[in-house]
Amino acid sequence: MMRALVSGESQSAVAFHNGGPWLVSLNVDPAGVRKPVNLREIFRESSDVRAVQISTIDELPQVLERDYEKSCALDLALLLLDNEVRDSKAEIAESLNELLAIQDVAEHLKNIFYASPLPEGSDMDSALSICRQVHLDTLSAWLRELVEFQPNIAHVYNAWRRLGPGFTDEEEQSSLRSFLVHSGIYKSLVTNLDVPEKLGLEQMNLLLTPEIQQFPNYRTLVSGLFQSYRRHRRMNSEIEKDSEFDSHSSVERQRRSVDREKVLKNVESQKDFIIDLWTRGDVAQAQKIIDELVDYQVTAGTGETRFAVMSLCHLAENAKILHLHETQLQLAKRSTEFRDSDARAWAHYGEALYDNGEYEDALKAYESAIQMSTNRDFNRETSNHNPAMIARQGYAETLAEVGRLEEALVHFKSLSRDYPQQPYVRHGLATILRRLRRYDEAIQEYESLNRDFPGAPTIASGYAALLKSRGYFDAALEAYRAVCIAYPDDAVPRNGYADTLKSMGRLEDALTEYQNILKDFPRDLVSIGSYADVLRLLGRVDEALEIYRDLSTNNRWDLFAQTGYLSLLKFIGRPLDALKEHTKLGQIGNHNRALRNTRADILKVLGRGNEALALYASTAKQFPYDPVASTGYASTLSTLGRYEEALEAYIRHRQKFPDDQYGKLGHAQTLKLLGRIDEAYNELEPLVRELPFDGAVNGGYCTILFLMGRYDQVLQLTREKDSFYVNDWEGYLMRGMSLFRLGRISEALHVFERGWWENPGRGGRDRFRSALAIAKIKMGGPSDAITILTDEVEDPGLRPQVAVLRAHAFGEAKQFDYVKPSLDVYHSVRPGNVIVGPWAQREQELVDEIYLRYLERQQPTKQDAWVYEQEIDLLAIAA
Amino acid sequence: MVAAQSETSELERRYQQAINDAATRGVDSTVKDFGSATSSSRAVIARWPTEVSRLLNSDRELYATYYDLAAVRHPQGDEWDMLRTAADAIFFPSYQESIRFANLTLSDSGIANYGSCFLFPREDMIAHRASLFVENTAVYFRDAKGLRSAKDIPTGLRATWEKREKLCVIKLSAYIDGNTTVADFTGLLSQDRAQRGDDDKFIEVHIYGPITMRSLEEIGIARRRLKKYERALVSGFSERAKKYGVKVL
Repeated sequence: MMRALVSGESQSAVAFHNGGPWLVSLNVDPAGVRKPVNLREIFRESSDVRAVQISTIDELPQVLERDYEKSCALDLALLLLDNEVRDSKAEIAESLNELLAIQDVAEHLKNIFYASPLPEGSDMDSALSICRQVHLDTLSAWLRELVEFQPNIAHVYNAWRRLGPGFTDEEEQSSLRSFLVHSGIYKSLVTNLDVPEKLGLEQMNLLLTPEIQQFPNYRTLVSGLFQSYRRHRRMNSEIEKDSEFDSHSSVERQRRSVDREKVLKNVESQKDFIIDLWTRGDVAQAQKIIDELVDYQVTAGTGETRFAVMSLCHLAENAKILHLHETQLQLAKRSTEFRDSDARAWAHYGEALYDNGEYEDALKAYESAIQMSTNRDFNRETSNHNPAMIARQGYAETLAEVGRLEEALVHFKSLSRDYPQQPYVRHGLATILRRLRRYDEAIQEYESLNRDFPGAPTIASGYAALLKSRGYFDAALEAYRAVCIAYPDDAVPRNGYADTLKSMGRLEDALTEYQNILKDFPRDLVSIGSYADVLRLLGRVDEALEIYRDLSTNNRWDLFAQTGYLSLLKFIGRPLDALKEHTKLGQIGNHNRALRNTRADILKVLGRGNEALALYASTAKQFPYDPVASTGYASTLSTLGRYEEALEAYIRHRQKFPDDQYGKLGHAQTLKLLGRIDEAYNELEPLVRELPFDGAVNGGYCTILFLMGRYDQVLQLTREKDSFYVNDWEGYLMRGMSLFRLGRISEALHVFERGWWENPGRGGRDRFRSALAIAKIKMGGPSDAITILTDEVEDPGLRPQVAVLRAHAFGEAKQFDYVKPSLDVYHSVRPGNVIVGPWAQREQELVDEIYLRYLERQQPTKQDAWVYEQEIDLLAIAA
Repeated sequence: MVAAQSETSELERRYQQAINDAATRGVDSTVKDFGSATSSSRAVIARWPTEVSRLLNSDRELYATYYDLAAVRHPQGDEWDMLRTAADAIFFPSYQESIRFANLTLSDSGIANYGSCFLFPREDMIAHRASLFVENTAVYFRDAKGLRSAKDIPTGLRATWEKREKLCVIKLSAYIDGNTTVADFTGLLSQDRAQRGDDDKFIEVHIYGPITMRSLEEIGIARRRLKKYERALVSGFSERAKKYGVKVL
């Protein structure tokens, strides 16, 4: 046997035997053994010179080669992780990948990297990205494992540091650490950290190692190390009792025992109490308990803010479920202030900001969370609670909300590649494809998801929803049914099933379905609200109102309940009551954007357009990515007759929200009001092709077709229906009007009568009523028209036209004394309902004709047909 | 002081002797040209890519952390002591560990036997702390007879950095003849012979104190001599060296 000195860094080795030294160098060709000339130049400042025992000198080149590879691997790994190195990483990664295929090299590198957490300046993200791009599996696996073990590495590292200088002298500690690193013992401590039963064994093995016994203080050192990091191991719900440190072997101050089980029980109990207070609406008291809980966790014996942060995040999640979004935001923000480098806290904060519509700030919070997630959080195999994954997904979802759909798609694709086993991530990709209206790709993605995650309820429900939106109702029912059977305890797919029935117009079936759902989920707010909605559509408005009133009263803090109630009041023609109810909500109503939008809508319906405009404007300013405030603002401008401004507002809206069909619809409707029918058509025609089953889009399109005289096309697009649903009345009205224009009066009458009696909405019903009145006048029944047009509280927006219609009916019935009062009503209400441009011109001509015929009793200047045409067309644009 | 004065005067004497000899052979003009050329010669330190990587990066926390962990604490024992050469004890008594060895060159490279990367220190960073010896001190020690202490080293074979030209002329003027051209000066000054199993020939530069990235002006790389993995290693050099204003050739 002989000894040799080897250094991979200097690529040389020197053996001592037979009158040596003998040099082996990788840089002399052939790499044989020779006498060195200049020993000083062999190792120079190399730090990896180690002594080895070899049998023959022929072994030395191989030993040297391996040390050289280890040295290269270390440098390459550091360059790969260096955030200042950009251009050459692919080449570096490829070489490193090759080296890591050598087991000795991989183990050596692990020994070193597992001895310290990755410091500042590390860029794991780029490294992993390159591995993906260039398909470097060995390197990728090595890096991911390193990331996964970062928390453990940190624990052992901190435990080592806590041994402190007083424990042993610095040189001895340094030597011991070097030994622990190079022997792989350090790495073993890291990888076995979560296996308590192995700790004792490791400790024993270490004590018996001859190499470590060369250190005089070795028993003390080993005991100290194990005690120290055992105390700071990552905790979960396991109980751990710490014993007093062996006093004769440590100068470090040790903490007392902690009964963690008791602490955890207290924490869970307090959290349950807080959630209960929220449910009861006692937010102030809940806040006090939260403060107490946080204090308790910090001082209870753990002294670690991260548990308090975890509690705050957990409570934020629960606040979200209870729709307490402002509370959710406060809690999430507090968690970041508590621990500003906690990735989980920032991810929750991002989510809370998102839920509150503060998208720009949400993006920043998510970016912070992603930047802070530099360790185990990158592991692709971890659970749904991986903060990096949550943050990246939240970031992508927020990009979609701010209209950056293509960017969101890029992120979702990247996420799907990184986390192929995470169904929610991949579902995000399918959702964004759907939003981009790339329906074929969305369907393909869903089919792939169903194969990979068969029976996953969210995916199956999402797929069913997509099928429903594309009009594949039977397939959607089938899909929902399958999920309902697999997950009978999940209300979501059951609601989806019932909603599909509603979309198909099978309202009675939908009602039965909702009744069954409520038997199993009596407190599910969505089910309750949906049930009330079906009652409304069936004309059982009083029942619907009672349900929503209860919902609103019992869930004061729930925005879904409040907005649903207010919307229903407005819908059934009680906007003043809706306004009063909104005012009662106080601060919530003023701060929450959904409720502010609802109030603005109510104001618009009440003819208080300028107030509505101001409220929409302020909401849009505070929540720049709120599409409802944006379209509300534009449509209010339109209502006020400020059409050009409305057009500009719609254009701005569409730039920000490219996938919002209601922006396009509103834009088209404004063009319609300006008489620019062809342009309105060009807007809606492609939209209808994309969304053939959207009732509002279809109705708007039918109106345009009607105004263009394409009556047959309207009839093809509409159908006689079994029942109504809220967005479909306009199309049906246009059907009746088209029949009227085609001279199919009795069929038109049937449509108008049905619409008047059965349409649950105030505004829709009034239009059918007016259309019916026009038809009655034409058929020689002006008295019937008068009857139809009286004793009703009208939609304020329709009042001017109804007033003209009344004047016409009275005139035809020769009840001339009532003509002027009707026209006086027209003149008094018209200023509050502005129309401009060609429609205003036509209306004025109509009013002039009515005046001439029935007040001045002069010969008509226009044909009767012309009168009906104006009335019908003006009714169409009022729709 | 006395020793320094005698070194200087002997250096000057040997220089004049070399010039006179060259004049006799009719090559004094060429010898003077050679001398002028070497007055702008540079010191070059040869290192392997792994060593250069350490030099480039060890001030960064990322690297420092793991280099420190990778370091093997120096092995105790006779073997390590054997690496402390007698030559160094004689030439650099008590401070041999502070000496960095370079060679003088007129080219963009150094002695490849010692490394495939060539570090060129900035003259202003080493002039005040560098001295030269007429050849590789280890080879000199091996071949010299009766060299037991510093006093046994003949005078006039060492020079300060400013007077390197004279040392070059002293050593190499005898190799300059009527056929020697300017193109031959580079090869004359340093010869890489290890591949031929012979000793390398060069004028040795001794730089006292550490060499850091801030001491350098250029790094040359003998790319054809790079081994496997070293190409990837050096590919990252340029970006890092740029930070220090060091050019990578």
